[in-house]
Amino acid sequence: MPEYDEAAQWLHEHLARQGLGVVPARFEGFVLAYQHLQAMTEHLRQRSQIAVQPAASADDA
Amino acid sequence: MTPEPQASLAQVSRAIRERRCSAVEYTQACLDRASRLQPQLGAFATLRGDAVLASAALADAAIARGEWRGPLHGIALGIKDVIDVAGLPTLAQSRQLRGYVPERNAWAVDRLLAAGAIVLGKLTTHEFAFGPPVVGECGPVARNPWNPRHFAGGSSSGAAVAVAAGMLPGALGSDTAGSLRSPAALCGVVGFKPSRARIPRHGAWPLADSLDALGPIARNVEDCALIYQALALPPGPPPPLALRWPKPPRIGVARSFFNQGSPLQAQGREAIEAALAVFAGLGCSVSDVPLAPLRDWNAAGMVILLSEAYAFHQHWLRTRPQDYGQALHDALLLGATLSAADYVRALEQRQRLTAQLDAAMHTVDVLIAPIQAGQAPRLEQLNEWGFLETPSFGIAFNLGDYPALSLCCGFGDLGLPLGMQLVGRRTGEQSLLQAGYAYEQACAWHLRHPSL
Repeated sequence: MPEYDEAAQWLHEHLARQGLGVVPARFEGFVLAYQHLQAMTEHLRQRSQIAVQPAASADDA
Repeated sequence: MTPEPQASLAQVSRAIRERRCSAVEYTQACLDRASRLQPQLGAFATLRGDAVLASAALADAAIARGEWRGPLHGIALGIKDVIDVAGLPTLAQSRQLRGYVPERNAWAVDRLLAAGAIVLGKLTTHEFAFGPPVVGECGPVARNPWNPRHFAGGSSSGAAVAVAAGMLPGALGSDTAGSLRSPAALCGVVGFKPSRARIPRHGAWPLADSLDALGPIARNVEDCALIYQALALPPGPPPPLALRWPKPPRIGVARSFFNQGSPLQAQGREAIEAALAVFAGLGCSVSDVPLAPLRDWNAAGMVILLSEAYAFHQHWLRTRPQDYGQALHDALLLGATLSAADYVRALEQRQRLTAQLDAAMHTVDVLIAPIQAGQAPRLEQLNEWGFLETPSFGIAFNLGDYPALSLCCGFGDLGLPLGMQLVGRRTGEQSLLQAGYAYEQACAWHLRHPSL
């Protein structure tokens, strides 16, 4: 999970790129909620059966 | 003679049909009580005026001609304010919809009107059926009739409050992660989320389209069944008419929802354990059913909910962000941080969890789980991000699209209701309602009402 400062920076940039430039009023709480959601997506990633399968050889690639 | 405010829909229906009370008298009584209690409880977003009495007079005239349309004939109902009623504003508690007055009814409203029901008004919700209750310009905050300083649940909050307070005998609401079942449980009434296909959602504003379902809130199981009967479509067995079970069902207990990081409090647990003993006493077998922990269900459910809600609101978030309340605006923005891969993994997890639930439901007829941690908290204790921080007991059965019913199973030390949810098999609405009805008859919690 990203640290607070890193998450805050990413959120500012990401929301601006998405055309969603209005910064949440209570930004600290928003960042914490984002980190909470990131923990959920990480949990789903760990449970996922969709895994990256690297090519076994140059021919497969 | 006008029935008591807390008379059941079934009782009122019989009185109107037998002309012991007119629909006009009953509607007037509902209007008077709703007007008196509205400042205290905030159940209505729009309360119709005396014009509604004209509809009631038509209902009386039809009965006088021998044209009784069914149990909802002449019955005043309320509609959650995310569901369109022609000629009444749909505000969804949001500035985004200011000035919107639909010309057409939602499918479900048409169905209720065709059954003879009368729409008394639109009922308070949270902004677009999401987030915490917010005091603002777009409608009141619904307050728990057992103690107005306490939360009424959400987001069909006005529906549960109006029914519990005796303003109305029943209401139509929506449920994406427990939004019928939670407020019903916190207010001591019955909330019923049927399978999604039973009640088409045309004319209802979505929160998360693959999770949303419409359903009734009423004072008891029979009344819920009567409203559901007027709304429900096949497939499957016909809507329930017989509420007595042919034989005691096999009861399963979602024990992982009680443990493993569950927020269930001691009083809530004790009330449900006592309810399990009641079912055993009625001749049901009771056994634990293995399910994944709440955390697994909530991770999938929240990622799907936030993704779908963001997809619906994306355009307005970019062009009119100032027309959202702060809490909903910020919650919706979280959806913008999710990726396609996150959504796909959530769908995959949903499929896996639902397969597990399907297997579990082969061994039982009805599953019992908590629906709320305990009694309703005080309004000032609510946290803007509580929907992420505290796991939902309800969302599992939206993910799996199982019919689910919440009902009162006791009262806590503050005198506030405690609830539980019963979950039926796929298309098993009838046996689910039968199980709820049997429990209700055995315990009679539904006969307790707040003093107002």
